[in-house]
Amino acid sequence: MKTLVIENLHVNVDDKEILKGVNLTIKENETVALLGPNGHGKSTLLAAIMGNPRYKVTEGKILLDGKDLLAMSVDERAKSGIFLAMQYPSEVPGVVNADFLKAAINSCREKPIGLYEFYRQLESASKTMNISMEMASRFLNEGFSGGEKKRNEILQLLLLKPDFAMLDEIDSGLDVDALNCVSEAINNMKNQSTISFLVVSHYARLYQLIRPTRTAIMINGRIVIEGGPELISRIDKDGYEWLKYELGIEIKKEDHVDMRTTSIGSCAVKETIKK
Amino acid sequence: MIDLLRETLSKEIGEKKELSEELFFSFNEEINDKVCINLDLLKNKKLTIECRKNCHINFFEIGENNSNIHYIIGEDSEIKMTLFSSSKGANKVYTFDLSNSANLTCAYADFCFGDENFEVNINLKGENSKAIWRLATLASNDDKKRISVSFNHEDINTYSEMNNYGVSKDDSEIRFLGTSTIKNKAKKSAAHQNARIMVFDERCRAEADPVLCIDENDVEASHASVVGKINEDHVFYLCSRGLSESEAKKLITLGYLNPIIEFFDDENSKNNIAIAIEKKV
Repeated sequence: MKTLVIENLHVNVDDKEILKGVNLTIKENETVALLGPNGHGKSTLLAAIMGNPRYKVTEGKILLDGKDLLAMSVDERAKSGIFLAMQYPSEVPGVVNADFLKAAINSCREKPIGLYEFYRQLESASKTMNISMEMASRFLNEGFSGGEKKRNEILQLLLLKPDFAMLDEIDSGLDVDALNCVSEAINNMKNQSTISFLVVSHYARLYQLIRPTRTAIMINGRIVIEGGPELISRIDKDGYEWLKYELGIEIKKEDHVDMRTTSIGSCAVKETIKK
Repeated sequence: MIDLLRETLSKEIGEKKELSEELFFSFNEEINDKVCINLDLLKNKKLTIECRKNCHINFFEIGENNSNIHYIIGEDSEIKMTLFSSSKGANKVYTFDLSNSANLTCAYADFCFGDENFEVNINLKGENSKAIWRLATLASNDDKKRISVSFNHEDINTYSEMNNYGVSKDDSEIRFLGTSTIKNKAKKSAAHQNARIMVFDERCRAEADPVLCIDENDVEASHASVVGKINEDHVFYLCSRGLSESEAKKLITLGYLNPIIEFFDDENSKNNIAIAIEKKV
C-alpha cells in the first residue's frame, strides 16, 4: 500500500522560509484537496515533494512507503511513481512533444516501448484529452495556449500512470469543456487504479467534479486543519477569515507585490521572494 | 541532380566559363533542378553562380576547403542552399545578390572542428525579395568559430530572417555577428534576427552581437540574442517525468540543433547530420 508521509517539513526559497513545519499523510486511493490563501506555500509543498532544486528542504522528512524521498534525485522520484502537473509547464523549444513523451515512458520501463504500442497509447490519451495528434509533433508546450498546456500535463499523467499525482492549479486557464475533460480523465484514473491525488485549486468547481476524500488547509506555511469535503464548501462560501475566529489563527497577509511588476498567472511566492 | 564541378553543363541547362582564378556558371531561365557542389574540387578558385529568371534550384554543398562563392539570383527565382560540414573548419565567404521577387533559403549544419571563419552577405537588391538564413553550430574542445551574417535591404518590401543556434562546450569559442541594414527608401521592409548560444562549461566563450542599421522609418525590425547556460527549469521539467539529468540535457541540446535537419531535402543528408549531432552531443 502506497503511503506518502510528510513530517515537519521546512522549506526555504532563496533563503526565505516558506514552509514552516508541514505534516501531512496521503494514502492510496485518497484524493486530498489542498487549499489556502495565495502565497502561503501550497505550490512550494508540491515543488519540494517533486524535488525542484530551487526549493531547499532545511528540516523534516518526506517518506514514500518508508523510503526517504529527499535522498532521491528528481527523476528517481518520478520513477518511484510521483508526478507533478505544473502550474506553469515549461516551454522547451526544439524538443518534440512525441520524442519527450516516449523518453518519459521509457524511463519507467526496463524494455523500451515499441513504436506501435507508443502511438496506440498516445492516440488513446490524446483522444481522451481532446488533443489533436498534430500536437505530438510540435515542440514541447511551445506556442501552446494555457489550456493546451494543462491538457498536455494530464495527457502525460495518463501515459505515465503514476501512483501519486500532484495537480497544481490544473484548472486555471481551462474553459468549461476542458475542465470537464480533465476531471473525467482524473475520475477514470481513480476508478481504474489505486492512484492518490494531492490537488491544489482555488475553485470549488474542480473539487465538485473530482470529489476529494479529504481536505487540508495551508496557512502561514503549515497545514492548520484537515477535514472532509465540507471544508471546501465552507471556504468557497466564507473564505478563510473564519479560521481566525474559530481557531485563533492569524492569517499572514500576502507581502505586498508591486502590481506594476507582476501579472495575472504569476506565482505569489515567487513574486514575494523577488522583493 | 547535377554534379556541378564534375559534369559538363548542356546548353539547355546553362553555360560554364573557366578563368585562371574564377569559375563561372550560368543557369538558363526556368531551370528546375538539384545541384551538388563539391568544394574540394574548387582548388581555391572563386565560384560565381548565376541563376536567371524563374529558376527553382536546390544547391547542396559538400567538402571542407576554403571557398568564396557568389550567387546571383534572378527575378522570381526560388533558390535553396544547404551546407553540411563535419570535418576540419575552414574560411568560407558567401555573397548572394537577389533580384526582384527572388526567394532564398539557406541552412548551414556546422559540426566541423578546429577554427572556422564563416561570412555571409545577402544583398536584397530587388523589390519583394526575401531571404531566410538558418544555422546550427556546435563547438567543442578548443574550436574557435566566428560566423558573420549580414543582410542589406536595398529595395522596397524586402524581407530577411536570421536564426543562429549554437552550442559551446569545453574550451571552445563561438561568436555570432548579425548585421541587418535597411537603406533609405527600402520602405515596408522587415528584418528579424535571432541568435542563441547555449554554453556548457565555465571555460567556454560565447558572444552574440546583433546590429540593426535602419535608415528608413516605414520598416519592421527585431533582434533577440541569448547567451547562457542550459535552462534549469527545462531540466527540472524533463527530470520530473523520469528523464535523468544527463538525458534531459541531451534532449534540450538536441532540441537546439535538430531543427536544422528539416531544411535538408535528401534522406542521406538528414541521416548524416543526425549522426554528426548524436556523435558530438
